[in-house]
Amino acid sequence: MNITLKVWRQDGPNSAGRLETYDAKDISEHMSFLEMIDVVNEQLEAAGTDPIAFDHDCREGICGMCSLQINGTPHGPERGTTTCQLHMRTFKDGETITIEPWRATAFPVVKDLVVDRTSFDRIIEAGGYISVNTGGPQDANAIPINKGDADEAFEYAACIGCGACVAACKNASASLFTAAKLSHLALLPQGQAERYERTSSMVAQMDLEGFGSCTNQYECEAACPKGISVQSIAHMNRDYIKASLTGR
Amino acid sequence: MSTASGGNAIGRLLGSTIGMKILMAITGFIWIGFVLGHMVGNLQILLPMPEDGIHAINKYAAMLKATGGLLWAVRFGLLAAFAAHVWAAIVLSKRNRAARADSYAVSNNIQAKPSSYYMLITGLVILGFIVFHLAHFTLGLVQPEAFGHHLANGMHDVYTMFILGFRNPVYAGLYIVANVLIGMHLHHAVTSMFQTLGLRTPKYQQYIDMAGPAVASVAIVGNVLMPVAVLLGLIGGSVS
Ligand code: HEM
Ligand code: FES
Repeated sequence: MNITLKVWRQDGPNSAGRLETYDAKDISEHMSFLEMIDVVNEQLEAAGTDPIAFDHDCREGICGMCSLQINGTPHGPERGTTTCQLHMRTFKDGETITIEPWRATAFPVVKDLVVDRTSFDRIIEAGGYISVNTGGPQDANAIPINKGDADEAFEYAACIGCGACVAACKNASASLFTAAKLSHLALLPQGQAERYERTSSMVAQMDLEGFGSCTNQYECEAACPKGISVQSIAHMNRDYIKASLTGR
Repeated sequence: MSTASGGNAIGRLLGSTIGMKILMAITGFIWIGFVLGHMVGNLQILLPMPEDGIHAINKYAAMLKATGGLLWAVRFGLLAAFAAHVWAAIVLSKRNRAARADSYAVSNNIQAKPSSYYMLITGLVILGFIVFHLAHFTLGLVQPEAFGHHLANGMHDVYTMFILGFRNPVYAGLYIVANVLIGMHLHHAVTSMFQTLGLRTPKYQQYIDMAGPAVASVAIVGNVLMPVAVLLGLIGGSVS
């Protein structure tokens, strides 16, 4: 299949960017979206042009490195799928595809389609962990956990931290990411000791990074490749109210 | 992990985006109560004129006036809630715009309701409308000829003011448009409020998602009915 690409090219964090048009010819519909860019990059290099910089690592939907706003949607049109798992057969022969980086003040562009997502790391550093300073690991199943809580915690634990939620939100809010991390721990016994302090610190860090606020439009939930529900945000808000009222 | 910065609970809440949204949800909730109560009170305009010529709406208005201090306390509370709501709306909207300083060349929305995109605009229209509405029916600045009528017993004649106000198709049209936009605000607002307060749990989610459209429909139908009934001459025949 033949595709026309409009790709955001930007030399560095402080340079102005622009959309450039490239022809991707003889693309197999079985290729993944990233393989298609690999092919285009080979052609660009052969022609002496700088290849398109983009993030990727595992290419199997688990690491959260791949990104890309594809025709206005994070990770492209297929629900519940990361860009690395998106196949070219999702598109039509002759189609024009616009590829842009995630857009958020808290995710500055590094080069072309690569953005700096270390603001997410700093939210985790603010409390997205459990402090256990001594002893070996406990036997599995030693602490009973309700099936419902375990399932919900597991859903939130599926967050790969890719940032699609921020990219999809018109306010570039990191609420779904922060809430998934918080609620994952808040539902499990191990997370209880630091639960409310964790909520206050991670929310404070999220605000500090310059993400927007949540306007409850749920675009994040629709764009999340792991289908994480905005139930997590309601959970975070409940814990945040408790944390503020009790001064933790 | 550091704990929440000191101060009191209110200070801590207002220091964050979630806290600001909670402020919007609570102040919005107060105003939803007002919008619905105000509508039900005013729908008495549809009642027929009794034999003695003292219409239910005039008695209702006199009753409200007679509460004196309480009326002023409620007015002051509403004003404070409104100011807080608008302040939070503007602060958060500016912040949200800054968080997405560069926009996408192609943007797409997947499941956001249209009403949710126009909250600041519908909100600002409400603000303008409330100022106009107070100037019109509370201060009598817009249509002085309709204002200040009294019954033979000295009672303020709200009924006549109401009917004359809405016989004017320009004013009636303005109220109709404004109330549709208020309904649009409520369409997203009522459901959003539950989510902000953390109350949209799986068990109640389907009902909460219907609450916005339901409250919006009731508010639009109830409020639009009044000017329409006057325009069509269904009520107010006694006013010359
Ligand atoms: C009759 C008066 C009003 C009522 C009943 C009302 C009600 C509400 C409610 C319940 C919310 C939802 C809060 C939440 O998401 O938790 C809301 C949101 C909002 N209101 Fe109002 N409001 C009114 C007037 C205004 C005015 C005058 C403005 C002017 C700027 C305004 C601007 C907004 C904005 C921008 C939001 C969106 C907040 C967000 O989605 O994050 N509202 N309103
Ligand atoms: S490259 Fe690892 S999730 Fe896509």
